Amino acid sequence: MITSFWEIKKLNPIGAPFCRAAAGRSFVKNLPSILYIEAGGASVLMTDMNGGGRTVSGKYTADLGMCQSGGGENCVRSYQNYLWSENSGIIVGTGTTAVAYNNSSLAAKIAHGTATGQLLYYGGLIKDTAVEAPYAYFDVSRIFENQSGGSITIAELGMACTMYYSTQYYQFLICRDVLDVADRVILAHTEMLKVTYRIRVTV
Amino acid sequence: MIIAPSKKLIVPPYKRFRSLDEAMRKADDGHSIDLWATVEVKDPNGFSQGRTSFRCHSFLKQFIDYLVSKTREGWIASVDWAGNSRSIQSTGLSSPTLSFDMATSIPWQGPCVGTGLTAPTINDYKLEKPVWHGTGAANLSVYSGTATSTYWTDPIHYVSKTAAGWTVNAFANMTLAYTSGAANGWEGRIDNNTATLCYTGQTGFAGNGNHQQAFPTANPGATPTFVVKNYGQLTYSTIAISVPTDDGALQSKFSISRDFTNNQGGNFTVNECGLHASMAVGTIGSYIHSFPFLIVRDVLGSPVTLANGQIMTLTYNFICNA
Repeated sequence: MITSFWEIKKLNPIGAPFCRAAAGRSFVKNLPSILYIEAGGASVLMTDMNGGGRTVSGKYTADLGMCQSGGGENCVRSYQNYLWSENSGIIVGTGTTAVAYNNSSLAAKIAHGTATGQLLYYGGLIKDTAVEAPYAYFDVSRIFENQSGGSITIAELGMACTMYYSTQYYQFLICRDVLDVADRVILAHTEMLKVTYRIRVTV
Repeated sequence: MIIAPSKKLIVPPYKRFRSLDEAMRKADDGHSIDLWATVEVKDPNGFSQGRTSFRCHSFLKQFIDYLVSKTREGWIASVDWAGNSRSIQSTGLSSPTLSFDMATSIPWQGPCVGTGLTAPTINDYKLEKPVWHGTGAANLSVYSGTATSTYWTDPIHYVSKTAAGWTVNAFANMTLAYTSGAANGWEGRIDNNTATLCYTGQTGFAGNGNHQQAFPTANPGATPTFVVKNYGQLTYSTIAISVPTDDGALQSKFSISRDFTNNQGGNFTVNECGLHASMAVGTIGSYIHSFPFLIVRDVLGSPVTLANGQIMTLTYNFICNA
């Protein structure tokens, strides 16, 4: 089976250290749809992060793209290209609505920026395959910094990928996790949070 | 009101851990993309004779390699079905794909079966004893001898030999195994043979660009001994891929299936099954070939014996649980 795990860790805590990890619960419908197209399936209706219906067809359109080179080895693309930035790779939000299999976006995604309620989205890292029998896995991570001037509570995590559809790129949510109350992160001004997803298979 | 079991209304709290490593080793796997296999045996008229399902345990390292290659740019090292390290090409948004193309009866893509019984390991890259497309019965020494020469330049590989009874394509879809020399122990599928040459790797195939080279991991040398084996053959059907469906609540799934028909003339037992994907390899900006990669392997809990004429349908179900 394919299982996800997440870890959230404050890098420069003001006060007590904070680190939590758990098994993810929530690959959403878009991921098997992408695998279906990748496997040679004909076409499938998917919903992008803005709620638009996209009939994706042809295995060369489907993708899990979160990262292009340019920001350093293995780095998620920097903010030179908006379409690949804050809406691709790991994303965070403040929503607490329970996960449903057909979620296509976070309930309340936090935007990139320094205004009130915003976080700075750093580039991310996608590591190479690691083998630790009986597991094989890889990690995707991203750092967020609060320069908004106030505190922000992070209650949901997710991963999104970028796919080329028709004439432009769109983002599609592939997993979403809602944090239990005890795990919600109150990120104070200047604090930084590292979020890591691990995708693992077991023989 | 009756609530279907799959529609879970109460989600228990998750277990939390201090680190990702701890979570990976100790957390439950309850919510994930599961892979279930269904094996159904039918008589020659298509009537079901029995059916069983089991939860697969064995996505292999190559599947994670695939996912990594899809999420970022750069070369991703993986291992093809012949044991060779290959760089999966992922220079853009178009490759590699899992590519279970539905061409007729090609055994190097999609569901596959074998007779091996060794438990899977995460680094497995081939079925232990693969059963290829055809009608031949198992014979572990179809032919043996010493090569008069070999040719070994990736991805072209052939063994030269002239022998009585060596007829064109007599060994197609069998297994070539070296028994001496630097490649001693290596086994790979034979694609075809001429009157004097036995190929496991070739270039220049027409069609969709997907190739089936089985290239030895070491230069066999000029005159190694070798044996042609047949682990038994079954007639491979085309592949069927179902459109994703969902239960309207928490689950979405799709399936990939294939029929294997025993036309050997006697009983034949299947012990292992797997899934081959054809993925593009090469260098950045230079697409070279697609090679088969084994991404799933399981040993069946109960071997499946097929009488002559019986059909085994192997279906892999990818099930996403939110």
